[in-house]
Amino acid sequence: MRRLILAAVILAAVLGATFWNTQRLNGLTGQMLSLIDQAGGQAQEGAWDQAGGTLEKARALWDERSAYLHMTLRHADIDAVTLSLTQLEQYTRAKDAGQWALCAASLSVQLNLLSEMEALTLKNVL
Amino acid sequence: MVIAFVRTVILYLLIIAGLRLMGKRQIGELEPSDLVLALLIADLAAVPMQDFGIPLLTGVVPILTLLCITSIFSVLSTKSPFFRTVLCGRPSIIIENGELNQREMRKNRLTIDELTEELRLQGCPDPSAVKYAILETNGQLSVLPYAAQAPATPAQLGLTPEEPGIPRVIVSDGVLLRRNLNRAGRDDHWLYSQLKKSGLSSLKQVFLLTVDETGKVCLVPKAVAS
Repeated sequence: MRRLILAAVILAAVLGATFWNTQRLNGLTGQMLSLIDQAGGQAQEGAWDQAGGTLEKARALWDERSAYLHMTLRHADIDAVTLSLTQLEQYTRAKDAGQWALCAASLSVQLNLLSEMEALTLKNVL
Repeated sequence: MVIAFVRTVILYLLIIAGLRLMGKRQIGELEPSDLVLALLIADLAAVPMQDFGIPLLTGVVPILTLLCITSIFSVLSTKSPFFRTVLCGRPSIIIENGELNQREMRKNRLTIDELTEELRLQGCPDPSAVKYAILETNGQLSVLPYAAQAPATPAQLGLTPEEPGIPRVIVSDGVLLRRNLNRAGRDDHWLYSQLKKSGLSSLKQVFLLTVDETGKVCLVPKAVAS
């Protein structure tokens, strides 16, 4: 009976941890998307310095969770987001609004896909 | 990760169901749940081992999930005969009183060639001489011949042979296993007297030395390299 309880507890803990991971990833991508949206608005108004500052916050947030992300996500997906963030920083410095908008749209899609990939939906399970 | 968890549960149950439907002959020597575990764990471990771009947790979560489910299933199957039947199936009587049960054979996808091969392996080539042949849940065939066809036991012959017990290995390839020597109730003096009897002077000359509970010694000297 002890074995049954132990196995059930571990199984429940694993399931709980996977849900927690989904929530945490949703939180992170949500925060990132909101910062990118904010930077987008600032870039549209021509406030490139402010947009750069907002992007720095997004970069810091992403880098802060780097270890966690590498433990839970495919490294290629993390690299794609990191690359897009770097490109966005470059376009901010170059004050290139057209490229900035394209790159931000691509980054938003990548971030949405990251959280969608972990969502417990029939589409993902199948 | 939660997708990995759910997919693992679904695939585990699906493979068990598949194996149950395939019949016992496909299983081999393991119960369906054990076989599925063995099949899946190796693959799950190999993927993150080879691909450094995949986090280790993608292998760890499904493996942990599988181990826990198997553990839960094994406990439940010991507690509940119904659950055990669902998980592992029931033994099938293939031969009863010398007659083949063709329906059970079809159900278990057991061909006549496989059956005769198993009977030959069990030393009962004639199906009519078999009282019962039972296909166990692990895929093995148990053959019980008619009492008149079964080999006579010493008890039936009124004999009382001495119990030899398990022979303990005392020396293995020149190495003394002292724990076994002590358990056998022997000492170094006895050991060297055995060597002396065989014309040996050192343990290094011994390939194998065993002693059983009746005191019967088996000593195999090391072959001299030519």
